[in-house]
Amino acid sequence: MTYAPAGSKATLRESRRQLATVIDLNKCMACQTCTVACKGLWTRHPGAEHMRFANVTYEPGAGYPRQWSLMGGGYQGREMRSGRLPTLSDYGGGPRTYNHEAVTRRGESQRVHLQLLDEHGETPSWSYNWDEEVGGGQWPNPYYVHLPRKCNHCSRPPCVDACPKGAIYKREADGIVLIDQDRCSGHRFCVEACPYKAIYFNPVAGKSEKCIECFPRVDEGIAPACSRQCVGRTRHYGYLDDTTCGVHKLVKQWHVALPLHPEYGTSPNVYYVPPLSPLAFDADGNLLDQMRIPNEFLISLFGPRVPRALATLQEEMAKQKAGESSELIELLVGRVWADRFGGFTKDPAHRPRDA
Amino acid sequence: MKARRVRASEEDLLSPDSSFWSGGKTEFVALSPVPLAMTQEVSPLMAKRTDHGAVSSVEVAAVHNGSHLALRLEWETSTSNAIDDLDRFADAAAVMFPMHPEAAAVTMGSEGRPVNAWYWRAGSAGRATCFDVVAEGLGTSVRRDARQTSLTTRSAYVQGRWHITLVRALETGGDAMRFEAGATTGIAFSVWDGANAERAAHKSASMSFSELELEA
Ligand code: SF4
Ligand code: SF4
Repeated sequence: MTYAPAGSKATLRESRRQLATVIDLNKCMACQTCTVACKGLWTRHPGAEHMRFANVTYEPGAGYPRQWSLMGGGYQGREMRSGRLPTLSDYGGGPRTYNHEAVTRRGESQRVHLQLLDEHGETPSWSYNWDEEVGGGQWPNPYYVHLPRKCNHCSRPPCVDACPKGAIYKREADGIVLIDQDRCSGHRFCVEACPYKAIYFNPVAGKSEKCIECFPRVDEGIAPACSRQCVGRTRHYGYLDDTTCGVHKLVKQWHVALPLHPEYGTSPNVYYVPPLSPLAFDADGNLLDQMRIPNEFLISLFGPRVPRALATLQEEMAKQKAGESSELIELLVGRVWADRFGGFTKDPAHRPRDA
Repeated sequence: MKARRVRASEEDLLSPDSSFWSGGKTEFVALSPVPLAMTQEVSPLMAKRTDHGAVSSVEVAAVHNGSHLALRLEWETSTSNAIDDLDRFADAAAVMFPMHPEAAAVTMGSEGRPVNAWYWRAGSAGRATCFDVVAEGLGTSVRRDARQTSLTTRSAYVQGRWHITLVRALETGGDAMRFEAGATTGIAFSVWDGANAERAAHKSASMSFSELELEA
């Protein structure tokens, strides 16, 4: 429920049901369609230039904002963990341009390379996805994982706890976490508290903003834009307790979709199917009996249940290969797109106009 | 503390250099770090802080001209701070008045016992902002557009010292705080050091209301 002057914080945290997202990292190609779908809808206003409520970065890597996973926040047991706030440059600064003029019009293309320019016309030293495709691992086994992120609409949201104005709340009907813009004073305790750095400060408005889970769409039965627009068919959407929906099946029945950094203690509601990878090589080019993406690395992201989830995926793939049908693999392939959205399948283009 | 009655225009009241300021007595009000343990319910994260209260005193003077009340606040701080990056906080100050005889300053009032505050905050390139604030307890403050209550401010940072004036009509109608020449009201003070990331209850404050008498 929303803010009540004499109400307790507990009422702000309560929700009867919970919407959730599953993202299959075996299929994400880092095309950034989700990033752009969100940006175009929600963060085109002044002061929001640096914001990408939906974003996709490379792991291992600095991520977005730069080194977010080292900034603190979340819980250590029952205690809230202090942290630090990102700077504008941690987000990659303001809007970037290219030196198109020099390369294409002034005839300097033989001497000048196409390059990114910052707001001062200089070559920046950091920007969104500056470390794209760098990844980790040593030859002959380099690796990286595409990691699409957004607000996790946590079941135990530290952002709600941290806000001294009681401006952040979970919607009672579906658990969507929102910031009441009328109550927000821009104190940024929420930015510090969110271990995923899914809250962004707008210096023009002097207030904090975050992913709103496309609630005006959700309220009309349309999946959020990042999920609906995903060309990789990586995403499932719906109520976590809806036993007919893919989200429920992948998280609760098959246990192949896992939360990011469960150790932060926030019970996040974006779940990831961890990626399988080809077998690793030894120095002589012989195949080893282990996957190229190290288990320890995936466990550092998605917790101790990774090996079990990967084993389930392999078992079910083997079944499918052997000619048997696997419900899990069919679900992940997602032949009929509407099956992936737990009933949130209305077409945004045909939405009835508001009166 | 006494707000002397002076013959001055509203514009004169706003100027920290007006001659009447030098004629009157100023008071040094001691400020101390707000005991944040009491904010455990409104923000367990803020409640953990122990590094606040950078500014330990504010020099205050008050006058009125029969229609407007003016307060001048000055304090020392080694840098001036505005929100010039996403991790930066601004220097700020506020004066607070009880709108109910039993309102407590340290909790910013309580349900049914509201307080009113005039809040000033430094801005980039000298563009400061001010709000009129009403609260009924910790975490309940509501900022209102200062124009609604005719609150105006002027500020300057000179040689390690903030000089700010806050001016408001004694009567503004509606449910806003009323002042009356000849009457006495309570007054309390808060200062936030931006360099120390102070904001919300993470600040220095005078903790209890002292008396402010408006000369008849
Ligand atoms: S991801 Fe961050 S902003 Fe979103 S609900 Fe969790 S703590 Fe709050
Ligand atoms: S739109 Fe889908 S495939 Fe493309 S980056 Fe986003 S999650 Fe990955």
